[in-house]
Amino acid sequence: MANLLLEVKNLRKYFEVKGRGTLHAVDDISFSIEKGETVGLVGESGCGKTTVGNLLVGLLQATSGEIQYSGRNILELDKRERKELCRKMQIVFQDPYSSLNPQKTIHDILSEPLLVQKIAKGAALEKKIQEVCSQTNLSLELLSKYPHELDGGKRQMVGITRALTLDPELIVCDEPVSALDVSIQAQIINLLMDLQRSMGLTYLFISHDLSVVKHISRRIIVMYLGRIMEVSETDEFFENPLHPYSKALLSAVPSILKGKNIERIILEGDVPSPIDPAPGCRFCNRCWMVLDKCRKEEPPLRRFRNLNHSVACHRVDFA
Amino acid sequence: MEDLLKIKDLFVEYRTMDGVSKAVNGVNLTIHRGESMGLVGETGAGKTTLALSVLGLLPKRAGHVVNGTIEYNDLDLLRKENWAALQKIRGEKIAMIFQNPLTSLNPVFTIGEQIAMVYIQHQNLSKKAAFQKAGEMLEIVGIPAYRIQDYPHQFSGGMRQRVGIAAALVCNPDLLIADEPTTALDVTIQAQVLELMRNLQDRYKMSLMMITHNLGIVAGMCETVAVMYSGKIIEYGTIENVFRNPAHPYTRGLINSLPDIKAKQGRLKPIEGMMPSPMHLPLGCEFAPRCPWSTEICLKQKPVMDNLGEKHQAACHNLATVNLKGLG
Repeated sequence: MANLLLEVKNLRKYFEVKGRGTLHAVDDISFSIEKGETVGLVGESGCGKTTVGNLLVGLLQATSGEIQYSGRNILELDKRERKELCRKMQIVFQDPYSSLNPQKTIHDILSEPLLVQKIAKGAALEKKIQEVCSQTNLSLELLSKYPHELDGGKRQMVGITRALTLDPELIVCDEPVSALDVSIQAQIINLLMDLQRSMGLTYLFISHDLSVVKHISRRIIVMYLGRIMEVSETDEFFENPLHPYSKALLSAVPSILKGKNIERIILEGDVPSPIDPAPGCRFCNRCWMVLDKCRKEEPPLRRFRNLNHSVACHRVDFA
Repeated sequence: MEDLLKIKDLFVEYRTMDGVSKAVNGVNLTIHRGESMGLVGETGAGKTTLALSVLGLLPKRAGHVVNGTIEYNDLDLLRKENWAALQKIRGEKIAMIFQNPLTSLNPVFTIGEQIAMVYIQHQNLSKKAAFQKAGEMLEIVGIPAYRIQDYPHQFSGGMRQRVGIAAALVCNPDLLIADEPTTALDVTIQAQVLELMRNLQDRYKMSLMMITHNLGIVAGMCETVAVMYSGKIIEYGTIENVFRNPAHPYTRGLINSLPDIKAKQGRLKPIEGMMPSPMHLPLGCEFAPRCPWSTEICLKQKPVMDNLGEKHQAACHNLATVNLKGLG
């Protein structure tokens, strides 16, 4: 782990829900990201993956825990230092419709980060904007247009270009392709991968789509109800998923190569409420391998044999 | 197999303030009894418009069927004199489930009332008997009957879609049209709903028209597939034929641009450009501006469906050249 860029330790984010209790959106999770890699964060709606992304870029305040970025705990920074850190860490949002200000031209949307950070103005600003547009192949004719004049794919390219204006090291991509049609989705995925190669970017790629995550990530983190269930290198994960939830998730993904008569793992029931979760494993009420122990004792995330593969499950044979 | 629904030469357009939007442009499609067919395509391809035309649910004023017939058991549903019959057929013989179960269910009625309404309307049951039946129907789709008094907002997304399915299956329809039934759901919940639909289709022996943009879902659910682009069916055939040996450049492009969980892929190959606006369709083949194989004739003349073998057709001028080069 020589090139550690980001390390998250025991991160928690709770929300008080009036009259109903405490919502455990992110509950004691730890993971790390190395420089230049793409980590896929997958899980279903409500598992806390977007909250993790927002905590990293400072859009939410953590309840407790540490986020070490290049060796400093960013949760303890003062306002000025926090703002400086924004240059290093940027975010691309899911919905390219609501994440661009409809009253501003594309030019103004792209210049805002540079002005806020007081990095460039005047001619230098124009030069910088042209430079980032050429990196993402965003046509300069679009600069005078408003977001509503562009289609979804182009808007998402604007969102990515905006994230690049400050020359960041880490970009949190929060479901950047889920709102797009498949042929456009492929263009955006290719663009993100090209940018990573040419600029040495690091991505936290948040998505519910395992096919996309498989394609783009080197490592995968699976979340369920605020907890990390499994962390693994991508190839190893798809060959040998260990957690029952991961297995069900993989079996549920439709594929044109799977055919009709395959064995399916169909989970019973819905994801339970994250408000004051019961003790024990978060997945126990939907798990088909559940033991008595699972209902009482929460399994810790443990390394599987000598592989870069960890899982939180009582049923996995670690020997 | 017996023909159940025959769509012939259908043209549908929306007349709006900004102009005429040609949503469906000459669709020919037959669904056989007991068949499950997938209708795939991207946003704006005309999939939903096609489904709404079958049920006579096109938006009033704007939506117009310009030409064509839709025959259900030899009865043309588009003719005015058959509208009374369509009223009976809709919900009883042909039922539909919608993409977003939160907006397709009425928020101010309990789910029991909404399902019972179908029994009262179509089967003349008494209120008591209708509620009794509604409870049984809920159990079939995996919702405990005691929840019959609950309102739609009290259910999760997956449960709501089950309610939608229960209401659709009340009259044991011959054909179920499912318009992106699982797009709003999470993958594990999607798997539950698809499994339920598979089981119910087996049990009730109904035909299924599955509208989706997800090729994987079609591969797991259907026997045949029709690929739609710019209001036209550009390729049709069995799942094996279309997905293993896609013939049309658009179908090939779609499969190549898709990251698949089972595939080892290098760089994805996106289809360059965008689908043409339905307000300004090109003179020739609708896909020609984006097609790597397009030739002069493609820009001038619209291609027609060609037979490529048993249960495999595609509409392209250059099928011979395209298919020499293999998938890639």
